[in-house]
Amino acid sequence: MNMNLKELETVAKELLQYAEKQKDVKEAEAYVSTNNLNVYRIVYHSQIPSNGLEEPKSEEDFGMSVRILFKDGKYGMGSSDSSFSKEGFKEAFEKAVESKVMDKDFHSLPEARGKAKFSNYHDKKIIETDEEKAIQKAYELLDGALDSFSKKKLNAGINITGEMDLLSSKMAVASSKGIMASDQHTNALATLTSNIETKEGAAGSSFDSNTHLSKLDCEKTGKDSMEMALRMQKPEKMPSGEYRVVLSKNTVAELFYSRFSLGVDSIEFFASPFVGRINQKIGVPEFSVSDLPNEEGFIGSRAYNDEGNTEKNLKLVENGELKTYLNNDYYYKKKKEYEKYAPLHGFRSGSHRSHGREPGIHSTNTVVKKGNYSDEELIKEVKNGIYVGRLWYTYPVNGYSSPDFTSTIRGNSYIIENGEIKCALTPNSMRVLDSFDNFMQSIIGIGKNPKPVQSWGQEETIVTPEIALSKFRLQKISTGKN
Amino acid sequence: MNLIAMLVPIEKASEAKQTVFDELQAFSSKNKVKLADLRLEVSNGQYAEALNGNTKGAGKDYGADIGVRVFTGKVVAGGFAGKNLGAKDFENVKKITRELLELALKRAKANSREKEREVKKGIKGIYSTEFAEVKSEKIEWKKPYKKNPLDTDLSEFVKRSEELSKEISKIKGIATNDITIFGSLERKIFANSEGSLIEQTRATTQPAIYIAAKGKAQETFHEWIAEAKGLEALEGDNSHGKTLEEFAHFIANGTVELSNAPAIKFEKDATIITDQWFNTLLSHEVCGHPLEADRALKRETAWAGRAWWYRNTEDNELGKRVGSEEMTIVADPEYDGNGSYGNYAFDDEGVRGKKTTCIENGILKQFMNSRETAQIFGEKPNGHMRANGAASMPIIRMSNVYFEKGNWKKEELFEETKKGYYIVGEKTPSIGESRQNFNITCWKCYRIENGEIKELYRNAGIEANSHEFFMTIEAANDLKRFNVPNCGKGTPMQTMRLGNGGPHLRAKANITGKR
Repeated sequence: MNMNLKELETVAKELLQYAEKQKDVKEAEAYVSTNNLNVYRIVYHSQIPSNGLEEPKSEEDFGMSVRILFKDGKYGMGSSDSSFSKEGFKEAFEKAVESKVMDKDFHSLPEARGKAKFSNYHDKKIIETDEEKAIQKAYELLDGALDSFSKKKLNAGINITGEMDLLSSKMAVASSKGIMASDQHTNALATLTSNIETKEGAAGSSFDSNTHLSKLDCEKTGKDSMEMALRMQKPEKMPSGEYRVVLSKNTVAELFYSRFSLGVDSIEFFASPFVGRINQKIGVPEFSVSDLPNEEGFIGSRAYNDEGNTEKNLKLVENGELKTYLNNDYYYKKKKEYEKYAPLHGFRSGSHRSHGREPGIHSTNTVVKKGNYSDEELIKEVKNGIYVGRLWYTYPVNGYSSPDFTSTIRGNSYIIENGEIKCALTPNSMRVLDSFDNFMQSIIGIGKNPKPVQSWGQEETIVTPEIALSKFRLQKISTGKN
Repeated sequence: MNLIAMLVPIEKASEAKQTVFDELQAFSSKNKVKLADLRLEVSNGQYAEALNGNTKGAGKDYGADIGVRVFTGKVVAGGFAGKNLGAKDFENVKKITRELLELALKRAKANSREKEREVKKGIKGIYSTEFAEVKSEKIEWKKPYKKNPLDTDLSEFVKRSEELSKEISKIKGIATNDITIFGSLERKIFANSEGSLIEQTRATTQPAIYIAAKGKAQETFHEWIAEAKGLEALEGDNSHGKTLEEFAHFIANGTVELSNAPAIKFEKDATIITDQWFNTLLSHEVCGHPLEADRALKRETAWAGRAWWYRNTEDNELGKRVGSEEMTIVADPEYDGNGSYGNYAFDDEGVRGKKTTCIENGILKQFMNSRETAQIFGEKPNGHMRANGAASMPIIRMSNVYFEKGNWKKEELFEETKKGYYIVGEKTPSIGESRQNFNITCWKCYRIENGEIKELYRNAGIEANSHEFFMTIEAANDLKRFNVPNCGKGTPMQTMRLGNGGPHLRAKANITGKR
């Protein structure tokens, strides 16, 4: 379904008009969306039969929904999939009638709060994906990695896996509260993990993303991934202990995904380590984090949220002090205490527009403020310790309200000695047992080269430089059969 | 019955099946493809949610989608296309099927050309895709249920969740509670170019409970009753053996109790007895996942990870000891009792699901496979290729994977434990990339002294290197299975329902906790 924004706006307006005319409607909101996701999954092994490009595939969805506040105070939502027709209007509205409930915390639909200045940040080449060229570009990931490997003439098996994803997402929203907004974004994402199958194992991963396909460098992503793996030859293990560390961008992002829950919904569910900590010191003065929705090229950028309101920069943590939570219109109006938090983050998903879901709370680009350190200076600052390149399966322990987490170190990791990289750390040989509080409070250096990261299975974008810590608790574990 | 919500009843899938089958056959013979298959799915469901005694939302709706795979070319390669379906689409299902097949074919051809280019360059490992043979089937299968989840009016779901949430709010120490009731029916059609046409129908009932309790410490817990059954699951016909109300009180009271318990301290090499509920997560993460053939063959390295017991085709643990004599793991799509979300007749490649013993008395025997990975291993397909919806690409997933029962009586395991810990209920997992090490937290942990259960502790869990742990396993004879509604794998992420479990187990592990 390749409709432009004007056409989507027309559907939204017509759906709103239809809903407003129905019996007992006090307020109405019409929302329409389209999504096209193309995924090209690379799966290669030099010694086991493999397909190279495993899954060139697409998933498409589009449709519309209404949210209605009825005169009796009840609230309902209804949707119609794969339809922008008049029958679809009826279907969506009648589902809202049938599902309406008296939610005492729902007071009204969102009001209009301004127009966006940020626009035209999408890429037509992603919207009109050329299948043949896209498949060739996905193969550049594999070719880049294979080229780097062939130059080394190593006699070892290699395993290369990763993907290129192209997403085009659009929405239009109109409401009886004066909202008329539309927005579209495109994402191009490439990630690759290269493993060299020596006895100790060597793994390297790389990642690239942009809002525009031409700026996505698959070949370089492939090369970087294999070169990192090649640097992992002759790795060593380390004993359990507390280490000074440098955390890669991916590692910092992984910690944020696991424990940096600032949505008011998480706060209300006591499912965040940040409950009751507004205006409190939570990290070192150098630690500042903002939500920046209008950054060129960053894949979390949006002009409007799904409640039809424009996106603004928001300081979340400033000089180590927690400043605010993320909020949407529903929670903003639910309790007096939530009025302190601007309702900027009413999104139905963190990655795409989704007519079938209610607005929840999602961030845009969560940006860690950069520091002054080059990557080499961070290594020097740590002097003796570990460079943690990639974490795996990071989960909270001791409940969702605790900052404690555990994880394992996967690949891309090195032992630091006398301010230099000494050698690789054996992949999968150490477990992390630490807390997000310690992360925020043990920072001794922040890098000056931030980059957007979006990990597997995550919807949100974290933009971060590398960060050095004075302590990080690690435990030696088995890498297989002992 | 509600007319709008039922605009696309599950019967629509049956009505469309001959049309999509015929279209697929015509397409396949015209284009002379190696293999083409198609899935079409319709689900009807309803839910209600209440937070702290107030209704938050309710809904009754259908979902429908379709997906096709096409494999073709001189060097055989695949292409896939899927989309959601609306009510009107069922009038054009023939045209939609043809368009999707053409799109998948276009992708498969382009993929094949690039693959051939790589093969000509001499890139080792890339091969022309092959599939193990399976018999074509024409069959209708329905998992029995007693009370249709759609026959109860939505207002009953709303009333029941709200009243229950109000009741839970009254318990001293509860800070927040959220109750959701969900029930659905789904029908899935599978057809392929080899002549299979399969229809499968099943029900799901899945209420969920979230509790935040504040005692001396803050405790949160989230759990569910989940059964591939009708609403009889709400009335006690489930793995927990409790009605929804009994279960919610059990979770709420237990979490409040826990919030006043002392935090446990780290202890190395403790003797632990794990209950069947905890073993659901244990069998899932540490046994089930590394027994998926795509992980073993390193097709999931960047995402879900690999399997420590299969380093490569020459260097692996197949046929070797990986656990104690008392450790047997089965993958069983045929099991249909409580805790059988992974029960189906055929997987999403049209392969009959077969009970497979993956680890037998400690010896690694076989992986859960697909037609393609079965061919690579030289085995018969055992039916574990599944997708969470027709619009998603099938990948290898667990069915019902569990520890088989042993010979010990549960009481004997306790009687012969002088000092140890009793690990009860599942919480969160953190697992090594090749599943070689794990740290899994539990809901409750009790100290055992001279065979008796003593004090309760919070913040507990166990950690161990998988192989060392497996070698110490002793198994009781009280096998029980539970369902997992949220297993994640694939890109984009597919959330799958499946079954796991085991009997009470005794083993050696570290107790996690404050150090």
